Amino acid sequence: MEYMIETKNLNRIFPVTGGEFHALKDISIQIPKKSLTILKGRSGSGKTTLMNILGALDRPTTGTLLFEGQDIGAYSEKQRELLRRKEVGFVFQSVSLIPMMSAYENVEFSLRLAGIKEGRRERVEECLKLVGLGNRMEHMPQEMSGGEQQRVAIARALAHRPKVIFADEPTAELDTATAAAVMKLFRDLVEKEDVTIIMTTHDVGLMSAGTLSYELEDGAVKTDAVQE
Amino acid sequence: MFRFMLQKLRHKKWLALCLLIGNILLVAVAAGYPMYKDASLQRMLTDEFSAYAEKNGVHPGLITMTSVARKGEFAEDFLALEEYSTRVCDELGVLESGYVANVSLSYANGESALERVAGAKRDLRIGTLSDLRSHSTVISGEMYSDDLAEDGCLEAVVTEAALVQQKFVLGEEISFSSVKDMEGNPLRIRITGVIKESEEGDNYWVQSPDSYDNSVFVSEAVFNKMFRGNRMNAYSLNATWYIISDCYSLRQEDATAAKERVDGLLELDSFSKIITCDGYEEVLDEFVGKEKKINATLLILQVPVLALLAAFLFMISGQMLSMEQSEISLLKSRGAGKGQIVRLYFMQNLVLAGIAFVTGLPLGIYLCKIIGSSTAFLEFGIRRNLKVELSGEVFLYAGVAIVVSVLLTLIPVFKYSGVSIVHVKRKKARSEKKLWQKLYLDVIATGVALYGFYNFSGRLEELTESVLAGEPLDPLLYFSASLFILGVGMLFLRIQPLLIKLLFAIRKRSLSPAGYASFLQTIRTGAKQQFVMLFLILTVALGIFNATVARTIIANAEQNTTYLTGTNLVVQEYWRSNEAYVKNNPATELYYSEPEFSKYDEIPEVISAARVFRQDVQIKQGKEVLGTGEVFAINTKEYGETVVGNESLNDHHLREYLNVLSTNAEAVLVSDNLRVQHGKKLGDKITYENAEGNKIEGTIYGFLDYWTGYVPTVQELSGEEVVTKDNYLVVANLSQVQEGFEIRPYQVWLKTNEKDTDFFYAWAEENNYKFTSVESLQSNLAEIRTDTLFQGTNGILTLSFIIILLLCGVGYLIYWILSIRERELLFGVFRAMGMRKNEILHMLVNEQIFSGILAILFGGLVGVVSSKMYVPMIQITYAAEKQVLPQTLITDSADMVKLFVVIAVMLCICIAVLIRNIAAMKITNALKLGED
Repeated sequence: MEYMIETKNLNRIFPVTGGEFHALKDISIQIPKKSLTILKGRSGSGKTTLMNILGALDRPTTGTLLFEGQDIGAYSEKQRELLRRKEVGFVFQSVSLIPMMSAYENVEFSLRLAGIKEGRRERVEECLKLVGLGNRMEHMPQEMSGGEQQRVAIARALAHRPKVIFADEPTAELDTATAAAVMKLFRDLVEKEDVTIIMTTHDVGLMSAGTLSYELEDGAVKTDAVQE
Repeated sequence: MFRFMLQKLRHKKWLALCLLIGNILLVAVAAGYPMYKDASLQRMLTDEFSAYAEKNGVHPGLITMTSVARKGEFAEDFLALEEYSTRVCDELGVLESGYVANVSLSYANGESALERVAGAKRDLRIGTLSDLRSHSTVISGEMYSDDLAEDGCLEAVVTEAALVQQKFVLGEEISFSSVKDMEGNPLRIRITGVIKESEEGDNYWVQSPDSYDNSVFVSEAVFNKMFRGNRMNAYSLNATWYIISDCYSLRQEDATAAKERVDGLLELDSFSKIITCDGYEEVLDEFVGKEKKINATLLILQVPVLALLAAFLFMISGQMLSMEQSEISLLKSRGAGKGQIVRLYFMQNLVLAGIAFVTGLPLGIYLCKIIGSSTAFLEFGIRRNLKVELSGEVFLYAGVAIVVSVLLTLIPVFKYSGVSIVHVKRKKARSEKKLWQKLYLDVIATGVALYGFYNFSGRLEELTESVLAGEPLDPLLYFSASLFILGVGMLFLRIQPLLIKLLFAIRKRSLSPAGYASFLQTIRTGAKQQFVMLFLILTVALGIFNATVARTIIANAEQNTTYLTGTNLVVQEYWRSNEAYVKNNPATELYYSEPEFSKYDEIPEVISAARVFRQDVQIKQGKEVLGTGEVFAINTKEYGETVVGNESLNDHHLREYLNVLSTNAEAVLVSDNLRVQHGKKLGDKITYENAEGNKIEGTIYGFLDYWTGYVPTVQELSGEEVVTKDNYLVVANLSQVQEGFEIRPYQVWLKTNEKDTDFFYAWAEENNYKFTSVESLQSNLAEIRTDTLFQGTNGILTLSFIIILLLCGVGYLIYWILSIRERELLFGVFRAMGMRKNEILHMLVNEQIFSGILAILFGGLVGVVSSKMYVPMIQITYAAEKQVLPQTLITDSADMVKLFVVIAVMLCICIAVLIRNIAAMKITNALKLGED
């Protein structure tokens, strides 16, 4: 079976004053298509670092990273940018909406970046309705609650029909009920939108919400691919 | 709290530095005004006294008092005046630097005991000069003794001039039958010595020894014993007291009071005819007249730059606070009240202002010296230092500047300390209309400025009159110009977002992601940038405006001076004549012997020489007098080669007029007002007549508006009103005029290849040629450049320009760098979404174009427009009394280049910083910024 993402012996080493910091150690994981994969671990366990590498925001020091079987570790900066524009969507821990754009414009912007010219309005509206914000499209980020903003961010990550959405602690700043709603949304998306979602969390309560989970500790995989 | 504040300052060191720079400049400029004003006025006062001395050959502080007591009559007045003379300087409030009393008997006829000159009648004055011994040297014989000689003879000394004039012989005895000595016998004197001044240039000899050519001086003690005291009523005494006031030590701030004292003294009826102090009075009069104008002008010119500095401080303070919102909310969450936060910032501003006070004053002194050395706009070169003093006024101005600065920078604190963070964020979300927009302050300001403009345009004549009467530049005029720049700038802020929105609406669909983001950024956060934009518009516009004002006034004054002077050197040689003889024998014809003219061509530095005969004439038609004017008689070829500049002032080139004139000996060119006012046509005949009654008839061959040295209308102040009188011009052929008016001294105009006039004086001395006047264009031009009003204007405008450039650069850089830092997280998001570094850069450059560059270009436009509107009016203030040439607006493209080069450098630095920041940016790091 071809995985959406597969890593082989990924290592990430940061130079620090007086030596090196081994952030990721020999990570080998496989993430199937159309899954909701959860990377668990306490803060400092290396999950965000791993996610950044998976999302082509950062490069591994050694090891192989296959994206739909393609070795993207060897990609040029330009290819990686293109990948990010078209194939990937991001949802960040803290709210990452563009403050001078309305909810609608934020979502539309990812379509623009992906070079989609036709049917933008329909797609934006569809995505915002999907996240339950069909009636707040013209609102500015500052006028929305944290949960609402996060949902706009998800709609934005989704709009250009990426193959993978990376969500780094998407629920960290949300209350339990909202967090649960976001998780439900993720599961719905995986089914309805043909998308693979990889998210990180340290929230124990959410760990069973995915289809697959890896637990990281001190930069290494502690428990392998637990199928939920 | 103090430590916290220092920490805060260290953390925001760049903004704190900006605040400090703004404060220092504010103090320096504010304190610089009184420093420069006082120093330059002092220099001007001293210069004017020196100029008077040079021009008139008399000490400008000379006060002369005369009195006569005729055999007891007016004796009391005489003595009162004598007493008064010793304290007149005290009365005038000026130090005394010299006192000479010349008391003498009335002229008396003396008979010599010598056979050789027996019978020769000599009218002599027997008198005394106070303290003669210490100011004179005996060059032959000996000084008089202070006792009466045994034979009853008075010993007397005479000057060399008297020795020659009166043919005295040492030891000669002279008796005066009309003057009796104490015993009633004819008074006898004996010449014992000849004296001269012991030191040249001694103020004591305000009347040179040569002028005492019929005086004999006796000892003051002897004179007093014989002719004064109880014997005074038997003689007629004449006295002249020369008091030299030390006018050079007069301080400029005392000038007005000094003038009032002099006026008061001269107004006293009893003294009005016997006290004169022409130099002192004239110089003070002139000084006080100019002082007011200079004071006001210098102040008016500084106001815009002070206002800009204040705006800068306000802007930076606001920026600092908006970046410290989180600190403020942190403080508040820990229980700090509004008052405490205000106190914190007050303390911070006070510390910065305090440092600025200490460093701003020396900078102010330095700035004064720079202004004092300015020769033209952005040019410095005069070596003479201004003596800058720290007066109470200086501290007052600096203090006021500090207080204003502290309060001004505190205003934003109230805004930020009072409202919760949520409120601020919410407010930021929707760009609400600002108060000034709701109140239409921009429209109102522009309207008022335009009203002012039209109002002033309609009152140009009135303006000219008030300037002639010594009034300074109407502050409202300059205010109106500044208001115009401000109003139009604000109007731009109202219109610019609409333009951007329109452009966005048109191109929305096809925009690249970067373009799209930058449009939205500009539209949504535009309100935040408005102050920076307004600041940019103001600085650029004021920069151009100031440059134009400075260039224009100087250039026009120089052109006018060139026009009035004519060429490099205009000299009048001394012509020998029988004038003295004719005075006594009016029937004799006056003749002059013309010095050789060809010698000028042989001076190597002279390119060409021309004879120009000028004389006031009456213009007549038949017997009817059309008016008065001046005739210029020239040799066309010489003249054409020698005159400097002004070839193209009339409808045709000067050459064509000269060609026409040379076709006929009787041809004349006349001023156009003869055509306009008296209906003269080409070919008409007119007669011009000089004061001697000689008449010449000429045929009009051309009409002229301008002719080097010719002033078409003379504006005179008669009482309160300015009267404009027409002045006519006749240009004729020299040969024709010399035939009709006889040969009379003419000016020689010399075009030289050497600007300095030293060669000429050297040549004249070497060849022993005498000149009654030498006028040099170079020194006339130099006079303009060193004129206090011109220099102060130039210096202040230059300084304003430099400060403006500095503020513009610093303000713009700071604003951009901060706004980029603020958005680093956002850039991280953009990058994560797949935007390229170049796209982000593109986005930022777009934003700069929408706000910064647009504002700069608009500022340039406003600067040019406002210059065109207001500079011609402002110029009037600086126009010479004899402003002839039409005043043109001068812009030196080099100034604009300088301005735009600075702006370009600034933009380049901005972009370089941008590129560096973005290139160094790590997406993962940028994103982490937002994680805490």
